[in-house]
Amino acid sequence: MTVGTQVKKTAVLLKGIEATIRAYAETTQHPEAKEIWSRQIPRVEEVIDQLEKRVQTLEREEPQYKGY
Amino acid sequence: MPEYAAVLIKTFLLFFAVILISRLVGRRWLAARTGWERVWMMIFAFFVAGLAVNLIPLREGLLALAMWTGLAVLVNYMMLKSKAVRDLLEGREIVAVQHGKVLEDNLWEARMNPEDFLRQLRSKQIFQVADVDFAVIESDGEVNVLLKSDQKPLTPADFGRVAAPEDAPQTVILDGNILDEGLRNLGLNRGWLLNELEKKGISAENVLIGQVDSHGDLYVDLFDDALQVPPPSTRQLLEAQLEQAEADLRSYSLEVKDPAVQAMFQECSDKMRQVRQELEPLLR
Repeated sequence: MTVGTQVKKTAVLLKGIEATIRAYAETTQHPEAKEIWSRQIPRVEEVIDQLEKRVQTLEREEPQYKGY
Repeated sequence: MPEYAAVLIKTFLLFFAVILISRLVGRRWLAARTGWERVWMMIFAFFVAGLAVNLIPLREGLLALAMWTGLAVLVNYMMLKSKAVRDLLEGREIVAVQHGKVLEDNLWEARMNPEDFLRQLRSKQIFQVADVDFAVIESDGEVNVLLKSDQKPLTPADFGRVAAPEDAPQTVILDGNILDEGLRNLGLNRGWLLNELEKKGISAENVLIGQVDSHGDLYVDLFDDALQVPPPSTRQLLEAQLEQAEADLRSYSLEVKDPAVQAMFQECSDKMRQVRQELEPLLR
């Protein structure tokens, strides 16, 4: 497994995490709890963003691994 | 009219009259906290029973019942409105223990001997008077206790731990029937519930009790006791995923050579740790 693949896997994991957090932020009724869930979403999005940028950089440097 | 028919009719009507009157006098009255409220109920019962079996003539009986009920409603209302009336009719709470010291004179005033007092404490799982900081004897004889600070049960606040902000859970399925009110209170609808049930591979009619907690997780108990539905574990799964993400990112930061990229991964790992820590009380 290349580094690019690994980072992609983590990005996918994080996307799943984000979806779960969004769902709970949506269904939770208690305002404090809702706030706690919602607060995490931008953080996770930032990390996903960083990882995707990293993957792009890796693919540019080693085009033979692109798409794996 | 044959006599037995009259009895049947009267009893039938009185049955529903009792229910109506009970609703009228209200639940505080029916809780019968004071002795005389309890006597009221006995006399009330006598009137009703007497009327039903022709022991009491109809007109006199109904008049007595009306007066009896009317007074109850009146007194109840006055007690609501005026503290003075309440103190007079019900009596005030009597302090039995103050600053850890038992006030014997007050016990006497409450006509309670020390043994009865200890018995009441025991019924609250308190075996040592020394553990009690403050105690009152309520107007109905019940004792309510404030324990000394170091004897009080522990709370999350004592650990400095934040407990998850939670709402009361709602019952959404009972006896196979969907309760829309419960769903509404949670901001959910039938569509959501049916979807959740489908995910578990069951239908509403299989469910004896279905409850949703404030996080939105559905717990069910099925009619068929042989069938086991695994409890919701999404939040535990999320916790595991968050740990994994944090660990992955940390390991990437250790693998790369470029210090800028290293810092980036480390920062991401830290962010995920922060997310995990903040969500921790909600994931328990």
